[in-house]
Amino acid sequence: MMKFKKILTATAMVLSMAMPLPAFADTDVSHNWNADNEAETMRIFREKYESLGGVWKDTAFPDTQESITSAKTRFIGGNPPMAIQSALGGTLQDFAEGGLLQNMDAVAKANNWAANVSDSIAAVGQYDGHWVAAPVFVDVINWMYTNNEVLAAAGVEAPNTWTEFKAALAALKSAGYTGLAIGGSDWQEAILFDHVILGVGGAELYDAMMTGDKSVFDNGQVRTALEEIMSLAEYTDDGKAGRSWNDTNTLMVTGKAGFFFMGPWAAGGYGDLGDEGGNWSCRLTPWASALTVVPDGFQFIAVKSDADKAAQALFAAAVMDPATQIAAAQAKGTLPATNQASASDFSGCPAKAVDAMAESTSVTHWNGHASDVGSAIKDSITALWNGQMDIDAALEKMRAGL
Amino acid sequence: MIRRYTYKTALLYSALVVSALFFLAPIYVMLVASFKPLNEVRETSIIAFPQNWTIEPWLKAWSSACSSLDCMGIKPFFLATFEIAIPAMILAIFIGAMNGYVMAKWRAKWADVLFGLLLIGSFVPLQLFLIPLAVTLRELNIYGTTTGLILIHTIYGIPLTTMLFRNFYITLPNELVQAAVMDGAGFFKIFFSVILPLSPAIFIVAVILVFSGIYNDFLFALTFGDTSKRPIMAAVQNIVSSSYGIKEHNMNIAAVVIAALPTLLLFLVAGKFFVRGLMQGAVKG
Amino acid sequence: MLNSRNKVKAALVLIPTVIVVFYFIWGFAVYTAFLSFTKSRFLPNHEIIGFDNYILLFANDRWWVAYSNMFIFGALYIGGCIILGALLAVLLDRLTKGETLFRTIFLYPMSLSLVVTGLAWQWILNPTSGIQQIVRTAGWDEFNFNWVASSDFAIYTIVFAALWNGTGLIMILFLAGIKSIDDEIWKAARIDQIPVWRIYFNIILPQLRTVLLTAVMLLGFQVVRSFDVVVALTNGGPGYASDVPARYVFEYFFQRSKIGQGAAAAVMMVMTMILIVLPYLYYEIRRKEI
Repeated sequence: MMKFKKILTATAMVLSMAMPLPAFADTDVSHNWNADNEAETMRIFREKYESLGGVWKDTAFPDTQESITSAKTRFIGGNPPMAIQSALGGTLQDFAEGGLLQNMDAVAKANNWAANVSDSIAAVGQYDGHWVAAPVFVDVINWMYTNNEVLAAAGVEAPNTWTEFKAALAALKSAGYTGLAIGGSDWQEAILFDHVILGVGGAELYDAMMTGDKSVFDNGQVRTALEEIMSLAEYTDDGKAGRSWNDTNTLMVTGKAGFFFMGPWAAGGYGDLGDEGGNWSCRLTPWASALTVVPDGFQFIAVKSDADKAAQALFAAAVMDPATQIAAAQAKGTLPATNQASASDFSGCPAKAVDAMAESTSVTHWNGHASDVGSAIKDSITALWNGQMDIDAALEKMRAGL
Repeated sequence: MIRRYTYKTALLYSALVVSALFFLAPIYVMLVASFKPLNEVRETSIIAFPQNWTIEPWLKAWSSACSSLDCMGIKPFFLATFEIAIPAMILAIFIGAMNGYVMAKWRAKWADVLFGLLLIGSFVPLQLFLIPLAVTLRELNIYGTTTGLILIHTIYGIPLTTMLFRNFYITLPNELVQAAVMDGAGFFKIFFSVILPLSPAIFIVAVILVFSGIYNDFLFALTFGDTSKRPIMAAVQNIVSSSYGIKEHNMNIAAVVIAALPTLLLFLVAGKFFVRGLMQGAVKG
Repeated sequence: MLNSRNKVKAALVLIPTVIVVFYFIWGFAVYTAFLSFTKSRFLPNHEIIGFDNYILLFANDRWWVAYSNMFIFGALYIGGCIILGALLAVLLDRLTKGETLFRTIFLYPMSLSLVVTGLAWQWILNPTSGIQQIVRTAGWDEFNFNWVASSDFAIYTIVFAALWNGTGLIMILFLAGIKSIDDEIWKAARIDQIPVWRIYFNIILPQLRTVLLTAVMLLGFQVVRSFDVVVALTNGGPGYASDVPARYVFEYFFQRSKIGQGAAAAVMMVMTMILIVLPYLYYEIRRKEI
């Protein structure tokens, strides 16, 4: 019996080490773009792809993690998706190190990718000097949404500095509103922290923290940031536990809260309040001249058969086509990766980002760094925010993780 | 005397009613929300009765709820789920019954050890198996197919069915088997003509438990299911947890309830037989 | 009874199960244990690094929260289901009318998947729209029931939802057991003028040891699989106050790409459950054979 067990275990080990890549039947893209505007975005890419002769098969998941898990498992199972949509950066590192990605240099050359995107964005789509992913969007994350009606009702002016912001929160609280809307997950709390960091030390502090510069821990800046975020707790409401970001957005839309920090995907929910600039506004972090960005795109998984490689090349060409990218970005409410876009292509919130790009510093958001960075931030902040750790412990934890 | 009797009965019933409220509350809340239009869901209390009664969430959930680019509701996923659940259930029950027969009536020491290992193995969480299963399915060339899922659910249903049938068959008197042996009946003949006819009760118990287990599975469905024919709980999860955009709570709940109907109905209808089955010695010692 | 011909047939019948047990369950489990000693991150990697993953695991306060939650949840869930289930079974047994109705009410939650259960209870326990709000609007302004949001109490909300889901089956098991006890015993007890509750407590319930064993086993399996309900209700929150090992393992395996550490956590979790259940199981199975 023991020998039998040993043989089986050894076999399983050998099998998983070998990981050959047989041909697969489906040509599909693994993604989690389920909401209306995202589905629209996917539709635009799909139409372009089909116009080039491709055959589409949709593989949608409830969220990114499940999409990635499935792609990973399918790869092991010998039936990987042709491409997977994800934030590029840390995830790409993981996939590339695991040997999952396809060398797309030939396609990139044929379609002139290097000319269509800036150098820093090109770097994001490459690993070890080779193209492995198609960067299609540049998501700017540090948006602050404001319900202007609520502010007016409480007699509060739009804040431009961190101090003004906290004063505004206090005023909103006395007027009976929830000053700060926030949900109950670690990444939402981490996004709030982004703005706090920018308030304490601007883009320099942000970049230093995300790239592992420990001096900012020694000089007390991070500690101040932690203290500041905890000082915001009293302006949040009780229902935040476990609340999703969309339900939190609803607080804003229904006029119960004044300020909300979230990525560009939240903008779509404010349709009921009319145009931007009227009853509601989106602004990049007012107290810093910085953009925290996450490149988003499609990673290409290593496939074997020629038919599949051809399909991949078609899809790559479709999504990297500048006009298609611009149209898709407009649908999703974000910025395209291509440098062929002009400011006139955008309106609303993305337009503000385009303007800001010229004057502000762009830093990579934690979601665009290796996964350990994001984990360190999320774990420490959520423990601190929810009372499981005090500031010193959280500081230690963050320092060790970054 | 009569007064004490009535007092006790009143106490009994009130205890039961209070418990019943605890058990009914969630489904009441969910049903009520699924008949409200979205703005009412947001603004009124969760126990408030709908003011503008609507069945639109149900219609949407059934045929037009979107999971990204496919807006077909959850209707198509029922068939896919049954295609997987029914064969797997039949296989798991059949194998479990034979196992129970052997373990209960043909006592071999090693069979007991096997049973022990099977039982303890049930404590290992299924998530761990995802990657090795992927490798195994790939080697068998059934990764991502319906057959693959049927195999998986059969395999992980065997511990439960074996336990049920073994415990049940132990309560059947050994004399039955001995008499049949003396009559010259063979191993399999005894199973089919003596043991099986005595088993309908435990079969019903097994069907209920195994079917709902497979039907309600979410983990394997999401990871190994072919996306166009996805088992229903995974499909519902896709519709319900769209991570961007406005959450249509009322439609989500309608979708969830529709998805839950088969198992619910199974329990409601077969509940009586379930109890009877258990009474017929599934748990006797 | 077991002659050589039948031995062969018996063995043949059990072959599929042997494969299941040794390859699909224990083979994989052993593989996972092996992975816990390797450098696996995003994908399995077979480079061995000794106990490093375990050291990291034990240094992670988040793991200890999840681990202790397993005991809290396990004890309350198993104990609660058994006590509540037994109680309800006794009450149902006393009923002359309406047994079917009540029995159905108590049983139906079991048919719902844990995802549905978590969702429904999340609504009810939500501080701003659930029970707390309802009671407050009814007049008791100071009423507090925000356990979901509390780091200390969140795990108990999971117990609530799980109890709701699991009690029905246990109740049926006990009810079946009670009903199958000989009427003669009842009659004898009544003749001796023993009060009803005493009959239950001292005579009936002790006879249900096998029922108890089955119930504990079934509930034990659920504790280990408590993943679904935690994800649906609190997702481990607030922060990670209500995290449980099942979910911790999944997160580290798949979401954080730290397979090695996830495997170590899984090994700890399974070993603990086994160490607890094994003595009980052994004792009861030996009893049966006597």
